[in-house]
Amino acid sequence: MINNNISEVITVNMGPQHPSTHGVLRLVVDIDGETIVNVEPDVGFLHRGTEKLAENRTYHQVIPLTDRLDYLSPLSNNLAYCLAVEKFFDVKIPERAEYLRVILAEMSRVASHLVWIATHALDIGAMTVFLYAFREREDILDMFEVGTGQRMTSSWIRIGGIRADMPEDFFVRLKSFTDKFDSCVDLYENLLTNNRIWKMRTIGIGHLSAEDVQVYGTSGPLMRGSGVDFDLRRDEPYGIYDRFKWEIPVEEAGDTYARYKVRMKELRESNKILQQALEQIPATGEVMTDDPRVALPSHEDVYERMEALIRRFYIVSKGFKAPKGETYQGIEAPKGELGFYLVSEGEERPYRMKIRAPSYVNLGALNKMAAGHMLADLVAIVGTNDVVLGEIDR
Amino acid sequence: MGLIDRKLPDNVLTTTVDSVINYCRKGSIWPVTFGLACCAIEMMACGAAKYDLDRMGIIFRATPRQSDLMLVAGTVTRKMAPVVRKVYLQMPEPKWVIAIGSCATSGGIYNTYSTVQGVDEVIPVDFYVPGCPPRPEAFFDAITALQKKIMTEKVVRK
Amino acid sequence: MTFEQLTAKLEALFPEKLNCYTEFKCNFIKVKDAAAYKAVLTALRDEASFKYIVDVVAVHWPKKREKFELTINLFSIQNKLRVFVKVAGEDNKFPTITDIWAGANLMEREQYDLMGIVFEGHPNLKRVLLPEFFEGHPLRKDFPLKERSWFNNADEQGLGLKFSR
Ligand code: SF4
Repeated sequence: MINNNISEVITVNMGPQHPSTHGVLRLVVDIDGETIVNVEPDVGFLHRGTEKLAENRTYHQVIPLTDRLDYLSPLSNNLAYCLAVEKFFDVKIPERAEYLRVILAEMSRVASHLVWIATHALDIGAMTVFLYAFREREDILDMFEVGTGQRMTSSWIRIGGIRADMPEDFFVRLKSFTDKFDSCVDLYENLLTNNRIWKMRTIGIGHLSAEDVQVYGTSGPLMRGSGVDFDLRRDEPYGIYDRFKWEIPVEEAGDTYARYKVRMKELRESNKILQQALEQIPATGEVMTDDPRVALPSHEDVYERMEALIRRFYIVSKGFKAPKGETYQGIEAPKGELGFYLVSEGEERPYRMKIRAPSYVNLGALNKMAAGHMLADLVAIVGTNDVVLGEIDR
Repeated sequence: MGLIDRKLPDNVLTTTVDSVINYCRKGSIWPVTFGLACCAIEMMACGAAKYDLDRMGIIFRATPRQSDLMLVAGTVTRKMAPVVRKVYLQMPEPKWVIAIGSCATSGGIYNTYSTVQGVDEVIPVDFYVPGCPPRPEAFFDAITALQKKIMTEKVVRK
Repeated sequence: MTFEQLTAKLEALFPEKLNCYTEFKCNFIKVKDAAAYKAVLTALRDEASFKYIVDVVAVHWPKKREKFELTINLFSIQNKLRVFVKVAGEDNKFPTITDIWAGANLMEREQYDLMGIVFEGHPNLKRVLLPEFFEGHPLRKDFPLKERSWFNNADEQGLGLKFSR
């Protein structure tokens, strides 16, 4: 006869080379039978020293480093960093650049959520969604390539505006993309939302209450999936988000399925913002501020005026000086609140740069979400956390 | 071919064992999924719709024991280096390694206290793909180069 | 509640102990008396609805008398207000705030790992990003950026790895 009362906790290792940890996450899991008792994430396998490196780079040179944090949405990271530096100077961003920033940031959000739904579904066993989601992501990457010349890490958002204006083709492609994208989301939802297996694997899994999310500091879809109505785009407005009409999806249930629904709605809402931005964007205009403290003088100026040449040479070779002080800017990145805390000593380089990485903080709640569930559910829980190791380890 | 001329039935070709085996190997390269950082996302994009690595017989395997190619896509840190080495050792012979991205080839922009300056400090590398991240076309270039290399290999008299 | 109202409320609760100011559109509350640090945080959470902990930041100031500074980043969803609570100390020891916000656990571990701040009373204070055999704290100002000599200090898996670059 089998004695069912034997309880013995054993420790198993998951990762860092594991197909469903989304990179190099290692989890040390204590299990009793099939039930998870405790999960401890072991991170740092991608710790590249970004914060230290930033202290040795000028403000402009830090931008490419930010691309490589959350590499699923590089332009959101650029935006957060540039907004933080701009707080030091209080620069006025040209109108057209503001719109292009919103467009790029929302496109990044869509691209990031598409990778999330692709890998999350793949982990749980729905391969088809992976192929469809990557098809749409390729469209976005193609648009990035048309506009910026790079598929992923383009560093296109700069301090004081964006690097250069987008070509006509970019807007044509974006228009047709936004027209069809809603039906693409319908397609993913057809495959998943009422799928019985999907529901069984996600409903009730990885529960977080409204109280928990604040205590653990988990932000983004994890917070909105637990019934907390909070979105930095509305609650601490940056850029020009107040000009658009969109809704903030909130679900009460607090489980994996609720977070799935939040993200799916966010895809649609981002699409709405993109459509409005395309309608409102001024047809022409500057995309870089002419504030001499941060911006490079234009080429025409450099050819004609000596001071402009010197200024340009100075900014390129030495960088510009930020005033002494500390500032912080958080934005609603796809994963949650992404923030840059900058300490300046009045030099060309940041004295200290602290990245508030949403995935890292969200990982803190992993044990709370996973304890008591089956080992197989851990894959769903890691997936719903939407971890990106570049950002966690920095 | 004078000796065996007309002694064989129709539809029979003569060739060497080497080229048959190499031909099979080059048409079914199974890489181990080993995404480390940003470059891994481009690697995934290669495997998905549009670029579609499957058409070259490439199927990603999750375990090193079924693979013959390791695509090191991303930054190798000191903490990760023993794992890279261990996964490499678990792969059966013959095995090849492609280092993808400037991080894996040389450390890239991360010349810092925790980054290994090139994965060739840890494992032998056959091909280096520059770029940050490299375009999927660059991956294909590396893979076709690898296929050429496989065709030159001697299987029998190793 | 605006930051001015919050300042007035906190000044009444902790007279002479705080210095509240706004800099580059960010609201700072500097706790001058380190002994009151946790009481201020608890008051912020319980009486001013700052329930959401955003981040813990440590800064190293080797040239100042108070060499280490902690900044706790808090947000009140109810009032849509963000504050930064600052506390400084001559040595690297600060009380933990994991008993106030459970989420501070990982944030404090990171600051311990990279900056060497010892959080007294932290349940699980060990390295998180760097391997156990790493010595020193990379984000301190005296740590060189390209210090890679520690690579060969251990051979965790017995693989005989040697790093030369
Ligand atoms: S080469 Fe560039 S894209 Fe690739 S892993 Fe390194 S930083 Fe990321």
